[in-house]
Amino acid sequence: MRKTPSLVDLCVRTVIDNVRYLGDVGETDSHLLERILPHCTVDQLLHVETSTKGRDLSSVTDKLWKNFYELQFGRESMKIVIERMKLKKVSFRWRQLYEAKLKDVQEAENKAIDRLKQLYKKEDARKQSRQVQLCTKVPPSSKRSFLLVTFFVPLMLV
Amino acid sequence: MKKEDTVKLISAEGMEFVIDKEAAMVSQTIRNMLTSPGGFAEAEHGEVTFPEISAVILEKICQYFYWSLQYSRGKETEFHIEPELTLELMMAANYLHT
Repeated sequence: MRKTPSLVDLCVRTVIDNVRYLGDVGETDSHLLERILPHCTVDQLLHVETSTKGRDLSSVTDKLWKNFYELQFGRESMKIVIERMKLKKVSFRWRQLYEAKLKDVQEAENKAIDRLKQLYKKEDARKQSRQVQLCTKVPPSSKRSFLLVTFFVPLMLV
Repeated sequence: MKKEDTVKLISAEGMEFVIDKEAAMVSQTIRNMLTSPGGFAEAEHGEVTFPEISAVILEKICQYFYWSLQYSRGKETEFHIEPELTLELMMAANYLHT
């Protein structure tokens, strides 16, 4: 026979099943949050932290943000950050580091996009300048044929 | 049901739930309150007040006590928890060591 599940376990399971609806976690014990929050995505975790007013969840979430950092930006980038913090004897929350890095990456992406746009523009302009131009000049008037007709037709008729 | 076989659990609002002692003992916290020798006044009166637990939650907890007894006797059914109660219920269950 299976052991009767405790009510705490049943609740934890239900919360995890509905983790996408999780907002303010109020005074929920940290050791319970330790079991629940690892099931959040980045957006869900961010939502939980901003919805939970008057409480700092970083003791539970810091390592989760570290994981997200590693997943998103790679192990090397994470190591560099750790090294730099050691070197400068400072320490930041991984959520801050994640958000800062994300901003950096997005800015770099925007710059790259802008650069590409510029290049395309230039290329377009270059192509435009080499294009065969259509001109609206009319062909020379057909005075000659007109003259021919007026001279030769009467002759032919004679 | 004899009075000494039951306990009265009282919610924050003063709602009273009279249940079997055996069921209430599912909770380690209540068991300690009721059995610790010479200690708690709760043991004498067979009454426990929970100023932090609302009636909705306490009712659900009582349901769990009986479900748990049945489960341990081999009737393995699902215990349904309404998602909107879960967080509060979890905190109460945590407090009750249930």
